[in-house]
Amino acid sequence: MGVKKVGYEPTWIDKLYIPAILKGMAITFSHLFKKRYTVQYPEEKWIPPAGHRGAIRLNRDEKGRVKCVGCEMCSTACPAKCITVVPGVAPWDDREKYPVRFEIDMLRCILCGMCEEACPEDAIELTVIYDFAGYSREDLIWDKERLLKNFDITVDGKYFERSKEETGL
Amino acid sequence: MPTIKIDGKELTVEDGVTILQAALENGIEIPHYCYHPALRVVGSCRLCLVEVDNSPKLLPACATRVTDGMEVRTQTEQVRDARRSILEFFLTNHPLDCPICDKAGECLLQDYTFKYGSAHSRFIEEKRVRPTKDLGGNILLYRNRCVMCTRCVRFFEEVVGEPYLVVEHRGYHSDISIFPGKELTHKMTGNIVEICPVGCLIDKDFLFHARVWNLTRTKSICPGCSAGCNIYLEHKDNRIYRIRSRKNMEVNTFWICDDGRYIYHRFEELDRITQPMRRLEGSEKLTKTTWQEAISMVHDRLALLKRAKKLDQVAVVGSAFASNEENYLLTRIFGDELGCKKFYVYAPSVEGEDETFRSGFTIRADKTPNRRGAELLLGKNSDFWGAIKKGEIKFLFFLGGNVLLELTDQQKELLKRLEFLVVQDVVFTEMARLANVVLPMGYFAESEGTYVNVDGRVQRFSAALVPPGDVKPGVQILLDLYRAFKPDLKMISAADVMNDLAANRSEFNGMSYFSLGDSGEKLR
Repeated sequence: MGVKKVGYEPTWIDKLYIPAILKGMAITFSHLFKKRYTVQYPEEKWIPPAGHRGAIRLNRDEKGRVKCVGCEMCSTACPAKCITVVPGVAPWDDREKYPVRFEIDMLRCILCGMCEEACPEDAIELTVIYDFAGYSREDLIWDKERLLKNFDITVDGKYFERSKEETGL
Repeated sequence: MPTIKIDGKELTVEDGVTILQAALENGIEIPHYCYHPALRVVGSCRLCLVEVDNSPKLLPACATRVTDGMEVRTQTEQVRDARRSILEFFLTNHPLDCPICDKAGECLLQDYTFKYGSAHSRFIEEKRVRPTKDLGGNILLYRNRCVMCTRCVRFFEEVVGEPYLVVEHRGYHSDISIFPGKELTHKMTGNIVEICPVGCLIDKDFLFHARVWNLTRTKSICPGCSAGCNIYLEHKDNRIYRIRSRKNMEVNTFWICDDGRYIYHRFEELDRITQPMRRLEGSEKLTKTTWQEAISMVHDRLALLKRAKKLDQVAVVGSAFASNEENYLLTRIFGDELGCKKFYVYAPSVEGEDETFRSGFTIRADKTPNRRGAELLLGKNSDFWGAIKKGEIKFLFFLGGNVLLELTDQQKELLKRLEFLVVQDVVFTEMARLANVVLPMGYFAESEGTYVNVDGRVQRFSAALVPPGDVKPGVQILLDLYRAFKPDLKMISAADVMNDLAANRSEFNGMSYFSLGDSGEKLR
């Protein structure tokens, strides 16, 4: 069985390595004059593009009440089964049903946005918030108040201008 | 027996049935609202229109009888077009409030629109809006959602025999209404919520409690009276949300009464016994213990009495509230294994009269589910109080199950004369408080077994819920006790006990737990 030599045989110039090093350094130094992509997180925050699927919020209606009618479409559509809705008779005259309890287990949530798709009232939405973390598991089981607060801090599109104290995140 | 063809499928059906009945019996779906097998045919919804032979017009399947050689087509373009148009008419005024409608998920308008209707509405005008009406009792009338099938009106006229509801006005202005001065507090009312094909009639008891597709259905038997109506327990997260009727033409047909429909509330927020309890010698208080210890206390006491040849002082009280399996195990343990002869049945006396409605549906005055079965297995003697009074009984095993059990002062005094009292029950009844050993058992929704109803039909019920704490189903407790006497016991489940029962009692001969199926079998 014969052996066939294939591939690259370096010339004597190649064996000096100097041209190759210069070529590499040229690429490196050319980056000094290009746009920088590194973000100094967390002092600086990356602003996600439109349509980003981040943490979930519950919207408010025009009277500031939770917009959700407690139909459980979101929890039915949720592939991670992270939404718990306990519906009840609404305390208001103009509305019949509302969620007495609304909980999202953000530990389970996979941010797929199916809940948003399923909602017939546009009451649940995904926001730009991507940096939510907690010190305990309980911290990440968000109740109705927490989800409504997410609405309040993102509805004007100025989430990234708010301080840590204001967002609670 | 005429032979007809539906969609090319040749069927031989009984004489005099309608096309719709023939189709439904043979698994061919023809959509319909106003037709209900238990009610008079009115042919008002027009949704079941089909093409018949060479008839130039479509005919309503619910109101057309079959004739020999008839050829029916249910899927032609003309039929589909008619359905689509009719559904469009229904939806002109039907609100799109499915998200907050309790019927969503089991709504025929939703299903048929999805299957046969159009995905778009051409109706741009304002929908008619009518306020919701409270009909009294547990019923809300969402008038916007009504499709005027009049099932509810006919139900009260034909099944109950007492008209409550009526259709007011005509045509576009038709409206379901209740006779003035009346309230829907009738015991059969809950059924109209079930037969309403849309979400027009809504039960306040279930209002906004859960979405129906999240509920699990478990087949059970209503323990409310001796009629033994077949029911579905619909539950989620170990809680029953509602009870619905289960069709059994031999027993309750399509209906259940409201006493049974809301019976699960009786078992909520009870003073449940969650752990086996025992009384230390001479102590006033009951203390918590383990199953092993509780069972061995009962076993040791009985073994002691056996050695002293005092088994004639032992009496066993079975219960008309307990299943056949539980009562039968008592005869196996105390009768066959130990040789006791004193068996009694606890069953409160029957008060009042049976209530029969026009269709023959009867609410029984006997409020125990299994009097017939318990008496068949343990005999008809229920006077254990007299025997205690005479001092014939020193050891009493009491199988309860009646969560409403109350004792008179005299009976409480009598119980103190006993040397040893074992109570197997669901809640801390006055009886259980006086016991030496308390064995906590699950109620009907937490255990499985069979009941014999008043007509002698053996019917099976299944467990829907997990019992709280250390509570066990009654059959399991008695099997544990049985095993204490007979370590090589083969039986491990209610099914085994039922099969053993069928082999040993002539009335149950030939039955097995599985042959009983969903509709049960009559006693031999």
